[in-house]
Amino acid sequence: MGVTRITQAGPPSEPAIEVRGLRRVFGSRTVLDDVDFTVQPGSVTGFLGPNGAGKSTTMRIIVGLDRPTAGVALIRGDSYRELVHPARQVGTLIDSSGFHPGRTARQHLLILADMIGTSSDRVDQVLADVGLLSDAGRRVGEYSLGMTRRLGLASAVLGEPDILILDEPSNGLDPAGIRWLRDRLKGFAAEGGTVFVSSHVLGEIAQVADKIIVIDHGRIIADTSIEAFTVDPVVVARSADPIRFTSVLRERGATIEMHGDELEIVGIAQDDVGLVAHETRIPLFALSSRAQTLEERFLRLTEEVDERVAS
Amino acid sequence: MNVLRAERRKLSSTWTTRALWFAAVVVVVAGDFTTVSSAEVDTLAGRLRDQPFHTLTSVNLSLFALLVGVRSTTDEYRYRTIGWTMLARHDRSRALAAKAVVAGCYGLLIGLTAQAIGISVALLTISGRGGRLDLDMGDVAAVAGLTLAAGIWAVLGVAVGVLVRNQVMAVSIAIVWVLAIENLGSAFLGTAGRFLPGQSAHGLAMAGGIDGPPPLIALGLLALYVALFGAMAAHQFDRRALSSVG
Repeated sequence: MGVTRITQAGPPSEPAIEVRGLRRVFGSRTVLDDVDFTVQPGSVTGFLGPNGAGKSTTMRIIVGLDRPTAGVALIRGDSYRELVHPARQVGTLIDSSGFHPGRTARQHLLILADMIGTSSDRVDQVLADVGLLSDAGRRVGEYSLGMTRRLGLASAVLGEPDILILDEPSNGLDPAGIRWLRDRLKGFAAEGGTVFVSSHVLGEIAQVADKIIVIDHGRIIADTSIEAFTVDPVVVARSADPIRFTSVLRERGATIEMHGDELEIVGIAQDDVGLVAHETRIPLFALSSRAQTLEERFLRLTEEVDERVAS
Repeated sequence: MNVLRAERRKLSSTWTTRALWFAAVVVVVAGDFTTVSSAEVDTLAGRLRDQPFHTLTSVNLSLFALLVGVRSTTDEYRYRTIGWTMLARHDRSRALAAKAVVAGCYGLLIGLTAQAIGISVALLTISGRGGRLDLDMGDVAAVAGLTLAAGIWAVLGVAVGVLVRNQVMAVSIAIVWVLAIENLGSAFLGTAGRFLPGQSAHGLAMAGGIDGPPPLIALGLLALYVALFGAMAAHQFDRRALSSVG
């Protein structure tokens, strides 16, 4: 499968997370196929992909909850299962609904503190940090979705790790909760921590991440900074003959979306679009360009991959 | 010690453990009282371990102790808390062993308290009806054996919970095994039926009226069952991809 691969050299330091040649096959279905990437320390890396692309499987393999068919996933050079105190080095939020509804938040964290081998004094500290101290004695079954997300994050940071691996942490959070999460992740990275986070809320990733890795159909299709990912502008044109103009531009390699009588064109510079209109004598009523959003670029890229896979 | 404390907290922080404990005591006491009340007075004599209520207690405690063990693992899968355990500990066999030790201790406690209250009620009822038991050291050994058997049942329950994972299925299997398959096995398997886990537990408890193996052989057999099921459970716990997580 030929896929676009955008790469950017990272700084020459030991990666916080390194994934090499990762492959995972379930029966006849290949969920991950030759996945390679690194996550540099002290950064926030967004892990994006459509549903079923392989994000959660990759994360589960990194933290030893699943085994790869081939390849390795390393945390500072060791597999998760080789880490002496794994939860003190890597804070993980994979299944944020994984709480016993009959236990209180404090009981859940005390159990976790015992398992991790960290002081029970940390429990109230993290409860206060995520804003749940006053609800710590309530059963988790009575919590809202947003509160369980906060408890999940409290669980992840309980062992004072310097790497966070978070799978869809913003799911179910209200706008205030999303902002709270964004501030926490930024603060964590500002103190030297490493965050590897998957999310469907692309706008949030754009605000918080230094770098993004995009996976689709089990393969990495982009691994770059957000600036590099969205560098191609969107050219917006209004034409007297949008059908013919679209056809002509597609022949020249452009990707086009029609919104009413407006064409959004990617892959050809604004000046070149004007020249094409002139050459083909198709009148234009308007021609401008704007920056591409992360969401637009992401959707275009995954659609391209879908088309290639389908063909 | 931290892992043991974590497992103790897990069992003690939910109401179902206390409910199972309470239910075990109520069922054992009710069984003892009913059995003694309905017996002919002239049979309410001799050794405690030969009394039908002791055998009934052995059956009842087998079931409740097994359920405590089953619950301790299937709860983790049912509520998806198993992921936290796996993420916190890379030595999963140790985590499973801690779970077995704590469940076993709960089995012992349930066995001891249920018998203490049940036997007291039975002795008072027997006395009230004009009967009299001649307790000896063999009866003490029978009570100790039954308590130990309850602990072992709870450990087996942990293994069953790992192997079956689905809570409803695991609980159903436990109930059908203790109340039906053991009886069918002892009736139709002949000598081999004596060596089933339930018959071995009754042998360890020296329960009268059941053709179980002698106590030491019963203990050895139960140890073999624990080793066999424990090894299978440890293998599953360690190797199985945790598709239920995430």
